[in-house]
Amino acid sequence: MFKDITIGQYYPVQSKIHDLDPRTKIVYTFVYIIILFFANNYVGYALGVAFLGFLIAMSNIPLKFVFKSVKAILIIILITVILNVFVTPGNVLLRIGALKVTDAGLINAAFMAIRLTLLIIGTSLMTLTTSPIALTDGMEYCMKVIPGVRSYAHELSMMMTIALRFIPTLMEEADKIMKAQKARGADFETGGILKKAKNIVPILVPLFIGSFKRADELAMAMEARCYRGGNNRTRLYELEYDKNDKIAYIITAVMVAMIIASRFLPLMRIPIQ
Amino acid sequence: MSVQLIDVSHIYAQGTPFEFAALKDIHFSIEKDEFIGIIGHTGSGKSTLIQHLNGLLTPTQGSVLVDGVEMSGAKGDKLALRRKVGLVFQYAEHQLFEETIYKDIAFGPKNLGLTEEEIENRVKDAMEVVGLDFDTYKERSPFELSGGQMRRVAIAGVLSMKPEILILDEPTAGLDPYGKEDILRSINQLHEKQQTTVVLVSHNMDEVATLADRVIVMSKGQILMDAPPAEVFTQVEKLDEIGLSAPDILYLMRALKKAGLDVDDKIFMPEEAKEDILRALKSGEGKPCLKI
Repeated sequence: MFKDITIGQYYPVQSKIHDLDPRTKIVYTFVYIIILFFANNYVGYALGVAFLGFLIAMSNIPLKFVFKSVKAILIIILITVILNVFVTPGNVLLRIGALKVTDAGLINAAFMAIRLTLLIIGTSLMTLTTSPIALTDGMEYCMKVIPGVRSYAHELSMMMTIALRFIPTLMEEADKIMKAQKARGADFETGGILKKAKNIVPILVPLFIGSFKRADELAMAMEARCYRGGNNRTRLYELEYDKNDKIAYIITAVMVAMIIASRFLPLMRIPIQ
Repeated sequence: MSVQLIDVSHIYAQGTPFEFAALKDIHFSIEKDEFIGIIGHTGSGKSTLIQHLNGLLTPTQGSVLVDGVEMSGAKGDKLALRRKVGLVFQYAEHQLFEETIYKDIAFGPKNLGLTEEEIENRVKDAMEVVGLDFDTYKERSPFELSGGQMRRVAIAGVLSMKPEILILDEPTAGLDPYGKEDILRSINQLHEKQQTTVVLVSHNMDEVATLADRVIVMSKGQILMDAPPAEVFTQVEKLDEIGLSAPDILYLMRALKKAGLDVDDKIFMPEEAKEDILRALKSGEGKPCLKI
């Protein structure tokens, strides 16, 4: 059951996107999320789709796998679409009792669905092409640039590294404990919500105890190797930009310019942002 | 009861780059009253194999028959199967969760829907088998015990379901020698006195050699050998090849023979070895002083 979660998962294949500096990918993703909100007509969205499509094609990750991440938020997208269809005012196309479907509502709903899908795919593409370790490395570098966060950059990224490192371990552990309790006749599938919640106790208690124990041991092991935070700590691998990163930044800039320019085209707009 | 695995294959994460075939065409059966030892290297598929025996995993291909009834897929009654086939996981003490030892051991029988009275009897019996005094320990928290005692509570938690087949995955891993011996003795008693069929997964050849009457050697997801211990452990070269070893005693007997003492180099049980060495020494053949 835990094996189908793709958000935050790394997909290890060779590609130009995989080889980019993690900072480049973080900056691109950040810019992409913001710029999506600037797009206000179908040209803007088409550009957003085109750039993302280009990246997916470059990344050598099967489309099927990329779209798996959308499945997780399908319900959110559906709710957004339904709300937009019925709530947006405009020319009424159809009436169902007290509900009315408007033309503006339909357009809005479509754009919202596309925007959410692009957001999710755009961000999951970053995690799919960047190993967790590279990602936190990149984040540490990026945080060092922001004043105020600078002094915590190392601690924050170390916390993140450890958390990421232990997600698969915890999942494996949960899976194992669940199997062990199943072997003792526990039933996690049937029953109402209350019964199901109660049934989780035999999994959660051992999982928590195991985590605390592990955290304690890890802290001890780190101290035993003289870990004392980020002060004067040097790195084995320094992050360095190469030619491809520069190209990627230029592409990002072009994308920003094109999407902002598309705002001024006199085309069909999203009625209400 | 008997369990049959017919051409079972299991592939993890099929259709992703993490795809991994853990089992390939496994074919074997477990009959009543057997004591089977499964040995193999880490990653050889032992743990995957035993999880097929009580329906925790279903085969990607092939089928699992229990008493001739198909159990794999959605058809099988998993709960009924788990009632009959008890599985003790590796580091079983990590599954403990209740406030008291009594409650933890009673978790299984409670899930079976037994009466309070029957549950208490079963908990008592299970604690007796693993050597924990009922009155002393029943109200204590499992988390204040030593590692070995926690392991025994966890094993009792499976025994209280009165399984006809008991599967144990490395039950002695990480325990001190005394803890190991206690647990192995309990398992052996269970096999002899209550006719429980036992499947023991282990790294430790000496353990398997002394207890099991049938040994299955796994390598890379396949069954390499399936024979009585005497047959398996004398093929030392074949075991060496896949990174396993024979019981220590066997190596001792081989070394003695090589050094010129007239002993039987196919012996791997400590008691038999002692007899044979004494016999060889008394008969006076071979050199009085050995160079090994």
